[in-house]
Amino acid sequence: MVRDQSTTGTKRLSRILPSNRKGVISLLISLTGLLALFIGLIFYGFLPETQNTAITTMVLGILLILIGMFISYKDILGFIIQKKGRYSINSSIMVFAFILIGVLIYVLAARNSIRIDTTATRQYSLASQTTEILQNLQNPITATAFFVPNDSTSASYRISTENLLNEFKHRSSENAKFTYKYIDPDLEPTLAKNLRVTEYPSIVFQGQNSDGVDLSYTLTAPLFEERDISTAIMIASGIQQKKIYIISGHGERDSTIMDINDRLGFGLARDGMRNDNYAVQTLSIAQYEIIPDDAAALVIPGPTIDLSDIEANLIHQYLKGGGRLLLSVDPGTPNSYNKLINKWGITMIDGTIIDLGSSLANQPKTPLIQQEQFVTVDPINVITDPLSQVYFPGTIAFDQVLPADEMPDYIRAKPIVGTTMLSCLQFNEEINTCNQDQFTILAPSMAVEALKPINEESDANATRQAKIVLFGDTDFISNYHFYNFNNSDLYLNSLNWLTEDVSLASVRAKALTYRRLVVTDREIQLIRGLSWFALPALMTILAFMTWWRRR
Amino acid sequence: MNYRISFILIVIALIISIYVGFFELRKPPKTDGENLEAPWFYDIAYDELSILDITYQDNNESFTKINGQWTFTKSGDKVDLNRWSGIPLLFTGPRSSRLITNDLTNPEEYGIDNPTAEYIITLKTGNILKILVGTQTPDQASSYVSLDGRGSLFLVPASWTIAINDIALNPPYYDPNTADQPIIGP
Repeated sequence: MVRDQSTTGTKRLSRILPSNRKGVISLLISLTGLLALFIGLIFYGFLPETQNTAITTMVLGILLILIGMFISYKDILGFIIQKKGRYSINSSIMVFAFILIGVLIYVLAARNSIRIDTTATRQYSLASQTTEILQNLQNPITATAFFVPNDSTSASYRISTENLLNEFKHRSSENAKFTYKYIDPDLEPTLAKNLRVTEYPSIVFQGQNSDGVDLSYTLTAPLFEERDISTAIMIASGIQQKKIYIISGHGERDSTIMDINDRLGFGLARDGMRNDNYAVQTLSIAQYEIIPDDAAALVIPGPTIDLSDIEANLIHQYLKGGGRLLLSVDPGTPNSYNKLINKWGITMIDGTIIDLGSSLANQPKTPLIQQEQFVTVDPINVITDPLSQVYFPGTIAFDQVLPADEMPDYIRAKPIVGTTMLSCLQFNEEINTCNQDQFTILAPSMAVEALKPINEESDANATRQAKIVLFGDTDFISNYHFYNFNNSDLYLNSLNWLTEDVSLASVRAKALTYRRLVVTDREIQLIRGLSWFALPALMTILAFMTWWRRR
Repeated sequence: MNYRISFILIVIALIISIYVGFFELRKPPKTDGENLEAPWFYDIAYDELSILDITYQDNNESFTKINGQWTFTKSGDKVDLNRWSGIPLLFTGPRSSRLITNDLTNPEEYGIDNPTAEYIITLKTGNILKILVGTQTPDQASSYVSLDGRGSLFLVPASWTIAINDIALNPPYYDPNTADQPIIGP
């Protein structure tokens, strides 16, 4: 039987439209109210200057809807009571509730943002040291970033810098001491000139020291990394750079060699110190016969010539006065260095360590220190906590000059790392193994804290205790090995511990991980084809299957 | 077929369309400043130039084109073409590196209220253009310039103003001993 479509449509329409005059009036009033409400909303949202009119229109619309509902309240009530009406209201409530929940979640999330860095190298997180710097700020620091919009040079730095500054601000939110703003220097040249900006992009950090003196520091591209900003904040807040002196004149490693393949160069280590916000300078004690008062620590990397008595005494007196020494030696180091550390309770043990339990590339004379071999007791944990692996290509061992129960309590000496139990000291360069009766745990590195040397009076002028860190190898910090495993971190952390800059210095650049998906043209076509056709095809098949089952 | 679902979908699509139409498409591009194009500061034909008047640091020089040859307006002396030849071309108008604003409300910020230099160009038609040169940008790469009586502020390369100012400081007097024979016309 063929139904007349037009007749069916008319019947449906007649069911929807009210049959009496009152119903028609009610419908017209309600529709007018809806229209007024809609227009009011549009005006309210898009034309703020007509807000009052918009609100009046909306109120009028609501009134009209209510009047319309009131006129036909019996019909409406009847509809609601019906099964169909109940279902409709239920559905409407569900939809409304769903939207409301979504809106509420959005509002909550927007007001209480949580930042989660999901990158493996924590690329978008600030180092804990940076966070500590920000939390310890006494006075406000303002960073004014001068970037020209649509400038290609500025654009290349803009996003990463803004992310970083935003993270700094976010991390200082507890004390709200760090703020930043972006300025277009072409639009505000007076401000730029007042802050002595002569090139862009640049960031000017302004702050005050503890005496209330205004300080400022300017960073220019490309120095916009975390460590640069941390350094700028420290300078603008009056925290001075500490000075490290690298001793020269005794065949020490050359800190001017920067070639990364150089096995004797010390340039990368020196560069690492600078990156840790130290002012680094070489010092010839033999020439000047003085150790400057501003020396935060002395570094002696791999000496091969004896210290003179005068030099040894100068270093000893410096240590007595609360000085700090980072000494790395090698097998065969002249005896004057052993004498120097003997006074502080430590001695070098002859021979080269052989570790049959853990070594690099099956070279027993290059002990590989695994995470569990790091000493993590206080205070050494500050140096070793975040480390996982280091190695020493040819190292001697250290020990205390006295048995543990005879060591004076004013000297605390602790190994920083230990070898495995399958270690021994070997004197013959040709032999790479140990006798079983020689196996012992050895310490290729030690840290010492001492109020005074053994059997000597303390320095009356000393304001703090002496600290010494000893490494039985210098090759591990040569350019060739410096950035392998955690070698650089162990060395620089030790320096941070000596200078008590654990909270300030160690904000090292993070390795950027290459995360791009590299695909060939054919692979691009495959991905495109799958996304354009495969998924829709799958959905079509599923739909067909569903239809077939319900058929 | 369920017409209600289709109707609801159409309504949702309509709402999203309204939102996109009213909010998204009308949003200005995300830049910190005004994202204005960098057109020519002004652009006039070489042959239209008649008189060029340059004032810089209390130095004033004026040049008039007579029979296709540029001369000093006051003395009537011809100019040294070795130094002068490119200058009229500069006056035809520089390409601006940036249009700062079309509605300059704070000329003192850019030195336009007390210009460092003024260039007056008289055209063949008798029309006059007065160029006000303000300060340089902090990086010294560009100069702020504005046409007198207009609200626009442009950045032009600082080398443009330096080259013209130099004419006022060191006028291109013709010296037969050092200069080549003048060449007529462009």
